[in-house]
Amino acid sequence: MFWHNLKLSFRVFAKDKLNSIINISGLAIGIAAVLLLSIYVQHELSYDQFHTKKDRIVRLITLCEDAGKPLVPIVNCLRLTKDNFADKVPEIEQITQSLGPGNQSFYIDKNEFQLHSMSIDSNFHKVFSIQILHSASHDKLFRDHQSVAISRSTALKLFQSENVIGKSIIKSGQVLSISSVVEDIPTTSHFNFEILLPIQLDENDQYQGLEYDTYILLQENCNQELAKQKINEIHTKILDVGFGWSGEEVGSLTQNLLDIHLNKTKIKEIGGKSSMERIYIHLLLATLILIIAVINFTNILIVQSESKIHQVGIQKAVGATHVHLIKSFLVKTVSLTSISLVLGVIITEISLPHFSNLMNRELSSNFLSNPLFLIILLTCLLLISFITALYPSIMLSRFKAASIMKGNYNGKGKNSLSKGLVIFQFAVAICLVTSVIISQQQIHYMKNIDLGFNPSQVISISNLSQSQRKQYHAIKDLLLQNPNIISVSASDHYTGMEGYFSGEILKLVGSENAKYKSIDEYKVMPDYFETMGFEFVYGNAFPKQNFDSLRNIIINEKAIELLEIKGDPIQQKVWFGEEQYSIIGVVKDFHNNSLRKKITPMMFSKAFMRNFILVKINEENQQRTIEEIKKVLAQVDPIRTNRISFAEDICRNQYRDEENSLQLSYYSSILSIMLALLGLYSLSLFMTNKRTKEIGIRKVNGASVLQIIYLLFSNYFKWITIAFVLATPISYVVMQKWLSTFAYHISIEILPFIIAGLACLLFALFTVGFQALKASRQNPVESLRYE
Amino acid sequence: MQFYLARQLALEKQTYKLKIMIITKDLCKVFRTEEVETSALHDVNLHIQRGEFAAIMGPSGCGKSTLLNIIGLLDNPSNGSYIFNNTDVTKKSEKQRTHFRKGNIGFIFQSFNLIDELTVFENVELPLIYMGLTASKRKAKVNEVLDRMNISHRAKHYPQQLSGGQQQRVAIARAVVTDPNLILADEPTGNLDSSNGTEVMELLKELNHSGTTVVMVTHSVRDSEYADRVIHLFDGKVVSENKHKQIKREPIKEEL
Repeated sequence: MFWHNLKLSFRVFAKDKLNSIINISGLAIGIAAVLLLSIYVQHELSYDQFHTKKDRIVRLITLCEDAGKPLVPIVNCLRLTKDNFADKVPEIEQITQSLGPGNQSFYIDKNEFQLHSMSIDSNFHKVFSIQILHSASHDKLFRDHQSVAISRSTALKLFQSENVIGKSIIKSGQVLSISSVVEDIPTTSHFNFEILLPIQLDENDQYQGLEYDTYILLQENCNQELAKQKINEIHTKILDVGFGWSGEEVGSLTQNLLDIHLNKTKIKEIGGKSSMERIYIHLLLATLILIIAVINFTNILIVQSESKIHQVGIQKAVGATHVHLIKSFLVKTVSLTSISLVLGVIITEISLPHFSNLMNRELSSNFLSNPLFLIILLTCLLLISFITALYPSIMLSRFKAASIMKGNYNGKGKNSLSKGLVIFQFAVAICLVTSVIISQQQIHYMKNIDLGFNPSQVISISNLSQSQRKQYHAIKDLLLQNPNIISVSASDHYTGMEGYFSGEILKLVGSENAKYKSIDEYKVMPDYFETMGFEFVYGNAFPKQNFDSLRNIIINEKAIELLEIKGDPIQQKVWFGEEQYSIIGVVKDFHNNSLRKKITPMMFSKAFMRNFILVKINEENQQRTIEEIKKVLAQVDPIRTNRISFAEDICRNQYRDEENSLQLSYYSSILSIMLALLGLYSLSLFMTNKRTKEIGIRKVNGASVLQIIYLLFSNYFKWITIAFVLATPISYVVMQKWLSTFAYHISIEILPFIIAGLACLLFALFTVGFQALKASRQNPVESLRYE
Repeated sequence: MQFYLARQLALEKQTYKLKIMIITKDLCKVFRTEEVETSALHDVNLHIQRGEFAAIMGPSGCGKSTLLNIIGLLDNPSNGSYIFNNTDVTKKSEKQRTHFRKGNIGFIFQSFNLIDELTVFENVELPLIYMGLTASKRKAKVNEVLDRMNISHRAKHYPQQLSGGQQQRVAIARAVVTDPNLILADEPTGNLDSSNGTEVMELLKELNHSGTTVVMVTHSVRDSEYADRVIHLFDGKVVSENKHKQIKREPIKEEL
């Protein structure tokens, strides 16, 4: 019986190849989408789960006043140690602090390597599950302050071997020896590193500010809530000592390790960020795709079985019971679903690397070895088979054999569900397409806006060595000899990059009772304003003579408001630290942040780090000029590899997140259109099938091909119009909300909606066009012959 | 004399030509599937006059319906020629055939072939829409024909709400609403009981009396007796043609 049914279903498949292929691949795409999304969700939920003590680890967060906003959470803390902090709370088992992570230059035999490094204290591996593979002094990461630990894959990358204890590596001229090799930590970690440095070694250790990521391991079986309360109290006291003098309010917060990745506390992240909402959205999306794919699949299957309705009649007439019919249908759907599943898994495997890229995650491709996914696949198979088999089986097997044979059968009533579904699918597609167009427009707007300064043709040189920084003036003189170089300056900060500035506090001399005001700061060298194309509203740039000794600052227009300066701002004096500085110029407001954020009050003061050398060059011979700049840099430091980029690119390319999600919604809209078209295809197959007789009658009565096509199209047009009417307001509201997350944004126009609607209509007409044409050209004799 | 005879012959030919509506010459129809070739019609030669009531009879599968479809311009013959209303329509495209059919030919089927989703009125209105008549003209015509068919009280009903006899009357109304020259009926009483069947045949007779040519395919000898002429088909060939001169326009009373 089983083989008979299987044989039968494959013959049906072979006879109706086009629909079978469309149906199987439609379900396969749906399954692939569901699998990809589940892999992503599973990945997101597994963050930091590999730490054996994960339930007892908390991260400490500082709360402090920022730019007038009270108690903003900051992930970094002051230097906290066992003595000044941990011993005061008995529930604390360990405390560890780290700096970074960030990319730094290391040298092995004059070859430079950029390594992702983290500076940690000696407790780090007692809190986190870091597995030491090889160690110079057992159980310890570092032997002394001149040693480092590297990950296994880094060891293989740098030395082509795993046990590299005792080998040396150079950082900032200091020779360090490798004292341990640790196992790579999974990518599902909120921090990651290639090399670990002892914290005292890092030059930043001199800072006594909010610099350190702080993790606390609580005692087993302690009252965690009580412990956290105590920790926060003590932490607040320590912060009060550090910041109390400025009158800034402070506070403290703890965050469970497992909450970090999904960002249940809204703070700026150090790793990739995600959120529970995202997880829910992806799960919802996966479910939705699966439901839609299954309904489409069922629809096409029903059409296929309806044309076999006579067969059902014959089967019943020769003695098949309900159970027999349901069985035969089940065999058919299970075999088709299995093919789709296998195909879906293959599609998943193929598209996973691209999808990982898109989601900015390293998703593991061996998901098939994960029992969870086998269970998901098996459940999918059973669920889809039963849903798709049950409905048509029951519906078809209920009919009396005689009435089917006489041709009295007409499957009425179920169309409204399919119609509703097709309308819904198109509404989703229209929403997604409009959102793609609108976000595309917003990104284009952000990348092309007038920044308020002019960074075009400015080369930004970073990753400067100490000697290059020290010999800045010599480099500048050398560069200026080049006729293609217009001006040269340097700064401590990127210009126009979101959040990339120092913070200072200022107040106007003469307003002694007022509070200090937080203000963002760029530290710059002379010629900076000329090089970066700033416009002055009042006063002038920093003078070149006596630059180091004069106490001058320059502010922007927003800062005039902040400091409540009345009248001419020039020669007004401000308290900057303990000393008085004069305002010598005011620049026009410029986009110091990305367009997500409003322009903030800014001040410019003297640079001392010189992190970036800025070179304005001529448009002609660009490439040659850049080569010449590299030569000059190499004269000063031949081994250092500097990073050279265009300052404008840095400003304009800080919308990676938006571009990534644009790409994601781009793919989702393609998927949604595909699913919608599949749904439309199946429904039109269904309807055309059912209307064959009607079309025949109309043709006998004089309808032309065009009139029949019009008749069939008018329906699809109606559905898409309904979908459009439903989708437009939803899409408008959602996109308006998205746009409002940008301080500067476009206004929504009608064009994206028109494009989306027309695109859907065109695709739809194309999909059903072939069928409509076929139906309208059929010989009416064919459809009316066997009535 | 010879000249006179020749002229007379030419004149007769011309009047015959005018009188004749359907001429088929060596008409063949072959159906092909991938492997099998079935000959449905084989060298069929027919002349049907204007105002004639012809019945086509024969056993199942002898090609009756195929012939009717070709006569009705729903299908093209595989071979031979077909002249309809003095025009050779053998090789016409579907578009041209549709054009010829419009308003000229009305169809009546065994299974009525009404559209379930349209009311009686809308079903009858259908061919007029495709002819491009205005709504008011259509309304007048439809109401007139529904009156004639004695079914106007059912105008707003749907086909499923009517009896078989009523449905067939709606189908006839639809067939005649355009005042066609030719009505083709494919077993018009096949799905009806005898009293409803008689009613339908009476209607067809009336139409024929008022000048419409009727070609009907039937199994029923009784129905065939309404016709002026019975054409017998067997295995795709015309085997005999009988004329019922004596019962022309006079149904046999005792059979009623």
